[in-house]
Amino acid sequence: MTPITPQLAGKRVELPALPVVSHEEVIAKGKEKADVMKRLVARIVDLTDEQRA
Amino acid sequence: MVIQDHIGFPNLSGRNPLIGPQVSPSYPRFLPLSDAYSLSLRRYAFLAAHELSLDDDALAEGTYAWVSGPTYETPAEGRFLRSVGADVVGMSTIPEVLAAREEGMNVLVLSLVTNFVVIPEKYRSIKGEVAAEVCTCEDHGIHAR
Repeated sequence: MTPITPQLAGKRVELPALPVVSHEEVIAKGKEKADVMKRLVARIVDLTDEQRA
Repeated sequence: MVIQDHIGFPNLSGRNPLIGPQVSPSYPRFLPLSDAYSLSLRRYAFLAAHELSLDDDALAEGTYAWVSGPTYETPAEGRFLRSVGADVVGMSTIPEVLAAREEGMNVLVLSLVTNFVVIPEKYRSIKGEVAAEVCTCEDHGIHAR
């Protein structure tokens, strides 16, 4: 709970730190998801082609 | 996520992309959307995921809520979207679905989900917090300003 009185007195209030990941971790996860999506779409196209044949 | 249905908030509030003159008289004026997402293509998507040995939770199935943006959702809007049946929310995709269905195309939507909507589990009651502190201060003979 954040005390209101120090805030009203203009004193710094320590808030809990939020979890943060690096830019590199975000990019790596994005590439991983993009690769899964690419393989998935390619296989769906193959399946529809097989169905037509 | 394989999209199986959508909620188009702009569609429900007079901002449907298909409002206006018809592109072709052969297009339906009132486009049915009860079967907007191809059942057979959705089956192929899950079959493909199985053949590729993807984790079961890698590919979900759900409802996409289309909002106009450009703001992201407030916690209250996030709770509202969840309560009306949305699984994911985005600012795109559905206009293309409508155009494709108008053209008579079979549609499959694969939506790559990037982040959670911020919906805190608990809410701080600022009113209660201040009331508790003022009460504590007064108990100790201190008057908050």
